[in-house]
Amino acid sequence: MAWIYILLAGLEEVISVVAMKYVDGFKHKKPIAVMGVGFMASFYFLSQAMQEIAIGIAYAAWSGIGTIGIAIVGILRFKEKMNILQFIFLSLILVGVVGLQLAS
Amino acid sequence: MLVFAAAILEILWASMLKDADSVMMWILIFILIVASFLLLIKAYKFIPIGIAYAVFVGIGTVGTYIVSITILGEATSKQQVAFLILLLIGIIGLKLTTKEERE
Repeated sequence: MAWIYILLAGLEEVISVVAMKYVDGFKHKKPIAVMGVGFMASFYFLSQAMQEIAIGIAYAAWSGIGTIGIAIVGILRFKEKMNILQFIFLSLILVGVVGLQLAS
Repeated sequence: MLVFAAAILEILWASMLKDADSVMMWILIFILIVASFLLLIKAYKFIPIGIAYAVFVGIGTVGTYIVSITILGEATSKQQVAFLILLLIGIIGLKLTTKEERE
């Protein structure tokens, strides 16, 4: 069950961060609401998962899912181009964040 | 770069979260969280969200980690330092390979 919470928290995080893209200088109200509710839901699910899973592992999984998810949405939804170097450096950040949390 | 400013605010609030014990502290933390997200939203206009968010998370992790070993005096291991170096390479690399778009 804890891992389902982490998955939900990660998905909510992706939704919230993507909503941030649409906020666009606060001209639009709806994305702000989506963002606020999304972050609250995300932190709630994360705290639920932490009841059963160690904090470091839960946080590593959560930030990993979020980072990968957002990069994928960026490429598919917003047609962002990523070259091979950027992809490699992004992977290094991912390995670093997850590794550091697991090693702590 | 706005992402860096956003991430530095993130380090501040994440570090304060550990020993927040008064209403004033919580209010300050909340303000810092909001400010860091506002900066991130601004940064999205100039750089791709996938890259902006990865850098934001990366700097936040490096910063809170450095705070925890320097100020809070937590122990560190070779493994952790190795991952820290990987993270820094990733952040600096993305900064160098990403062009900021002007509106």
